[in-house]
Amino acid sequence: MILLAFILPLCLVVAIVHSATRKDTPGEILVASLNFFVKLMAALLVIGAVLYVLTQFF
Amino acid sequence: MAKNIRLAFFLGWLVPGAGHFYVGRRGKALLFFILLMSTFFAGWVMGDFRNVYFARLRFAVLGQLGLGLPTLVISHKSMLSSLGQTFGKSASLTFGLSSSEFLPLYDVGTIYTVVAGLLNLVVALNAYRLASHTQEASVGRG
Repeated sequence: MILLAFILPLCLVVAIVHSATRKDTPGEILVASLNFFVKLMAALLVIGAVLYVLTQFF
Repeated sequence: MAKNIRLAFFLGWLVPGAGHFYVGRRGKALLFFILLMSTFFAGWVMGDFRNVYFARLRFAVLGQLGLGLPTLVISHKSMLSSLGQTFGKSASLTFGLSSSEFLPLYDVGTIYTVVAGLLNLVVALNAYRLASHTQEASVGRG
């Protein structure tokens, strides 16, 4: 949980910076960064789940 | 007006957002400066002001160097000592951790600084691309 508290702000920064390099208006940047943030967190969740399952066998 | 693409990249590498400021994107320049500098300094504070330095086989500094000026300034040992004193640390601040020390947020802080540096490279490349667009536009008009 503590680790997540440090990962979340970092992912948010990555999402905003990544979106701001691609979009121009503040509204577009906000929507794109929210989309990217959700995808990033989902991807991290999947990676975490896969690693968790792997550690149960090896 | 056409902008120098190499200067845009260099400024963007040196100070976050400076490349965008140079090509006239003031709002984005401010956004990048605030986000990247706060991420970098949050990581530096988490690492107890000791996780940004040059050493043999220390690959984290390659990422941290993406954020040019802050990394170069902080890596200078005398500068680190004076900054450490400003933040209430002793003058005998050293870089890195000794084998007997344990700082719980040291590695998290290092990751923060590396991510800020790598993101700044993306931002600097974006400034380079925007500057090249201004060059193409001026060639098209000419």
